[in-house]
Amino acid sequence: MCERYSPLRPLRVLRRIALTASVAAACSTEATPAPGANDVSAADTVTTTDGTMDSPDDGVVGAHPGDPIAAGAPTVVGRAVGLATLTQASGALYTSREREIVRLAAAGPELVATLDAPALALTAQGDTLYAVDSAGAWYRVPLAGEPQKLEAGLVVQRLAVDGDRLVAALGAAGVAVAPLDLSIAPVTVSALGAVRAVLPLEDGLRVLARGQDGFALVKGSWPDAVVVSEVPTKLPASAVARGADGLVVGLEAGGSLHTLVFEGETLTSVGLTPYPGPGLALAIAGSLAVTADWDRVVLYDVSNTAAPRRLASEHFGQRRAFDLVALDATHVSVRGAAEVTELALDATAVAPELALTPQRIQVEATADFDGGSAGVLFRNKGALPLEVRGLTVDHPRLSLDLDTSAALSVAADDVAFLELKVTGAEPLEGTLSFSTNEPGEPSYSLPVTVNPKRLSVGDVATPFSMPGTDGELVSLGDLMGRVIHVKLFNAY
Amino acid sequence: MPRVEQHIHQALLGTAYTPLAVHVGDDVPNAVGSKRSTKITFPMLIDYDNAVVDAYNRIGEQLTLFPLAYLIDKKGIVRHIYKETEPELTALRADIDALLAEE
Repeated sequence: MCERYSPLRPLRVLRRIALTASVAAACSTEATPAPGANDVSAADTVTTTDGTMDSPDDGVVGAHPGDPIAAGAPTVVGRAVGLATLTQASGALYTSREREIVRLAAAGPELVATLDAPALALTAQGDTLYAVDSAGAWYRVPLAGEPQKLEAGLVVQRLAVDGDRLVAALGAAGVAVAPLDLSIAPVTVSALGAVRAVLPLEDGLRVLARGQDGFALVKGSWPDAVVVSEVPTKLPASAVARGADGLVVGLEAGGSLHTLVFEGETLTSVGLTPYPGPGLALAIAGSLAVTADWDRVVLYDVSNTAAPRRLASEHFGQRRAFDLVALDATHVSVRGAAEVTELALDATAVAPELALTPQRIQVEATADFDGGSAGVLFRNKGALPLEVRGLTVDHPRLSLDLDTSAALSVAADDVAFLELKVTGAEPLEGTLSFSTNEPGEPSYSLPVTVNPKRLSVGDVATPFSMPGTDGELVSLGDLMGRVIHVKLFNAY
Repeated sequence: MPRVEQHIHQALLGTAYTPLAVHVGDDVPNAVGSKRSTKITFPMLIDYDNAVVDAYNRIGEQLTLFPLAYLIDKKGIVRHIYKETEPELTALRADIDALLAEE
């Protein structure tokens, strides 16, 4: 069924493996402090779909073009059930789903070990996996043998094996280092700054992504390793990956993709290309750097280190990518919120690519000015001209500032601006629709709200479903009959 | 949130009151760290793509308005919205008690 894909298609789904948690693993005791008081257990809300796998032809990339914007304000989120990463060991892929470490076998996930709390980070060396759970316990999990646990009390962001040490990026607290046999507690090294990722190289060198402190080359034995070279960044350095011939690729979240080289004890940024994403997942596959963020995979050509170049990007049908592993020069696996997707990459594909601002149009209209207006920016981030066709609005009080063609053409790396006008000041909800010549000819449907109403007292609470820090999945609908106190906050 | 845990949640254990902390954003280690440091025993949820905050708060309300809180009654209707950083506990408790007393 490959003929369904346009020749421009930069990626193709080979298979998906669902990772919905098993009921047994979903029961978090910590989240239920008193029987009957807080019966928020994922056991009631999670449907077990273990082992389901689409047929190889079934995955349709771009099946959800414009997915995040198509249905208006999303009311159900949080298909995530695991928070951990994806890693490769002895030729197989491993990931976690809540408390379980699973192997992604052809027939579906196979249980390898069960931790005491949901896993946050996972890595591997040879035939041994290493994991850290959300209660701060560190684990050594031999593929053949009993898991070994160390109560370290240290929650980590990412893990890496660095020689004979297990090194954890702790975020603001720096790194923590333990011997691979976990015979002694990890030692925290805070002098290196805020560390988001550790990439071990050879000869006692490693590259760190250090948030606002940029990238650093670090030398020496742990815990006495010191920074020998730094590459500053304007925005947070969030991820690093290793390519061939001494090439390192780093992500500066919301800023640039860097090609970095190290010679002796000097790390240098030799090339840059814009990288707009949050820097969640990065891998190098052959001459391609691949990033995966919310629901897009982006391919960059890094064969010319001095001039890395964005090739194409595409939705891969999920809402969130947590991690990415390169299988070979043309295949990657992405750990999404609730599944792992194996993708085939085509570096020869170039395509137009729309980036829309905003994705939900809100117009503040007043009777004094007989209405109002809002702008929509169509940016073409792709390498071919973007055609936007069939621009329509579905309400008589809405109109577009366009000639009769109802179409826009946007050159590569260019932008077009469309004004949407509204008459009158009464609230209304409508839609702006169009299609494009992006891969898969996607249709877009943007919600338009005039004088939007915020959720207020007397409204029915918008339903939601979200993962918790203990791996549980909590749905508002399951809490009917209780008095619910929803407290939004941000821990920065 | 430690105040809600200490003064309200603990006092109302065994009732139909359920607090939910919703961490806006995808910084999971930070959310996990907050749950540990604040010692709350109720669920800490992760709104990793801001979908809930968008649905509840809509665009236009700035992040500086955090924390915001909603009290939803047994029928799923929003009954109180709190925009204060630290709502007054006596009044909050009275609001909760009134909703708990409803059928």
